[in-house]
Amino acid sequence: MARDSGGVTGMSIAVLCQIKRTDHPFYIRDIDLNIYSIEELCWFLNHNLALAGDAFFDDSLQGWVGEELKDQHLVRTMENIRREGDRITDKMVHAINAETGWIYVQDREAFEKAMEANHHLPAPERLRRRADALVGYRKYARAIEDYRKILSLDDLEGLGAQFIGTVYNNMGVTYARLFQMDEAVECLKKASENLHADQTEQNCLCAAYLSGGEKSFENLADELKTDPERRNRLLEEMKNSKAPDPEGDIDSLLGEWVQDYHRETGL
Amino acid sequence: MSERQLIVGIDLNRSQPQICYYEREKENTVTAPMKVGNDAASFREIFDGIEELDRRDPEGEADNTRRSELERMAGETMKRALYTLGLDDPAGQIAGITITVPVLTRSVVHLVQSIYHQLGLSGNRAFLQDYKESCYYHTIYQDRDLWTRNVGFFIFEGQDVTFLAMNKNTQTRPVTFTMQEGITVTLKQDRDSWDEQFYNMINASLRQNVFSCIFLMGSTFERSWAGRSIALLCRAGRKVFVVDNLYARGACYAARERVVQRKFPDCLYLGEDVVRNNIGMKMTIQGKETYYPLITAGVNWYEADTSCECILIGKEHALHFLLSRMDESRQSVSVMQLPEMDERPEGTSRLRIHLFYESAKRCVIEVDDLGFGELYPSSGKVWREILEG
Repeated sequence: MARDSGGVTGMSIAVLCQIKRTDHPFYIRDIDLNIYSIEELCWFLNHNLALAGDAFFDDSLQGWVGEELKDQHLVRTMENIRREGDRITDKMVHAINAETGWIYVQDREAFEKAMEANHHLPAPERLRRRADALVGYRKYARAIEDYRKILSLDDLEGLGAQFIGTVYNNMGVTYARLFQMDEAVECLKKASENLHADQTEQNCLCAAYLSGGEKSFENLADELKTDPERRNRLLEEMKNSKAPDPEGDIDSLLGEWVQDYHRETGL
Repeated sequence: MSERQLIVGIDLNRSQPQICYYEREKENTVTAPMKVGNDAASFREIFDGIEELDRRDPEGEADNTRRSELERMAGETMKRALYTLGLDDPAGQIAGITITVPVLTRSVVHLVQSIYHQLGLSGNRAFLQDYKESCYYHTIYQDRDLWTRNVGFFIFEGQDVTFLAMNKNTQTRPVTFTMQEGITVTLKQDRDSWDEQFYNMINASLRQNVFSCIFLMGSTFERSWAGRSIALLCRAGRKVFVVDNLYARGACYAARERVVQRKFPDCLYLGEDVVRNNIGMKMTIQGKETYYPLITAGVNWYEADTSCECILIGKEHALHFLLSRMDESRQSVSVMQLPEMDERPEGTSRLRIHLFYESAKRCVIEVDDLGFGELYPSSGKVWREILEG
């Protein structure tokens, strides 16, 4: 072990964990994740604010904090916040960060501003962020459910073409990840109509190729009036792209895919 | 005997184990040889076996079956000896216990810890110390006038006489005590010469140092042959006592001091088994950088065992330990590198830091990568470093 007599610049900081890890985890159903410590809970919330609505801070979380973390101070704070019923998410996230000594927040001011901005987000935008976060955790079926909820809102027109196009695009990409190419093409077509962006059109054509081959690609390109030069280049790229060559046992690979499917769809 | 009223000291040795117990309710102290039924309890086979294993396998890596067998035998003998004294439920009856042994080695520490485990006695009421520490506790539980200065012990074992000095340093706070082993003299066969030999030994041992009290132990010593020697010992008003069962009594006093009442918070014994270094870390606690003590100097090495968990934040994969000698205020830093630690997002590396001692001067630090739950599972890596000195 090296010895010296002075401080070292750039050295890491050790933060004492004052609350023990739990034997029994808190289960976050939306993303099938078990949480075993106050630090994990805090880190999760700070990085996934979109997944933490008021409903997240329910009896089961409060029960886990009391019975497993044995943090009665936090339980009392949670009780008070829920009783007051005002800005529950903001106050809960604040309380949990305070309990860990704000180890995951370097700039308190920026953090407070971000929390404030999040609070003022329109409900559809908040729902879109939630759906996007679910995609990040590969919870595709749940994400699609949320995208559909947004698109079923009454005042959809008032949200603007950019917002609607983004929702359709993200939903289309999510369908593609589930290999539901027909649905993916439908969504991406609508996204393209709203966004008029090259990338969306390209996603759409790729999905069509994967769905029905060259013929589907050509039909959709006609429909979208894709620039001929671009269309030929994209088609060449699709033709030249190789299917993955699985090394090893094909059965185990299929097994992994089945597991992935269950995890991603929650079915 | 009622529930958890007993304070027990046991002198655990090869052939003449002794027990001293103190009943809190009756304030009554009893010292007796340990027996199993009508026979004297013997740990000879166990100590011989342990020594043999230590000779063959000093690192204690092999022969675990034999070692476990010896530990089981020791636990069984101790249970039966306590049962003979009416202690059929040690865990329920004993409030505090200290076992004292001639010399502490790693194997003996494991042996005693195993005995405690088998008796159902946990670490906060079951202690271990060597004979020298028992001498210290025995002394401080005597009248304070007896230990205003240094205290001497002449220990007779057969024809061998060993001198031990308990030195007192009043310049420190708390006042510190150390044990210094002096000369050993083997008395010749001619009994008529013993007084002269012992007289010379006393002269050589006490020299110009001031001793307020002398204890004489062991059955070889008798007033009948030690006329001149006794006169020399008693010179200048020194108090001289012939004592039996000093080690068991000292162990019993130690248990009282640790469990019942801290009568001497202003005194600290610095034995050879005492850890002399403070070890800590700069930790962030509730957002503030604070010195976090891990090992506090002054505890015996076999009792110094601590662990904590922390989150490491920053790009440097290393832990910084702050060391200071118990008698110095200057701190030095020891850096423990954690090579090949997984790269993870900031704040998602949880580590368990475990410190324990293999001897008074050899501290082992083990660091486990605990991961960060299911978000970033543990790599299973464990880093180990030795801190010498």
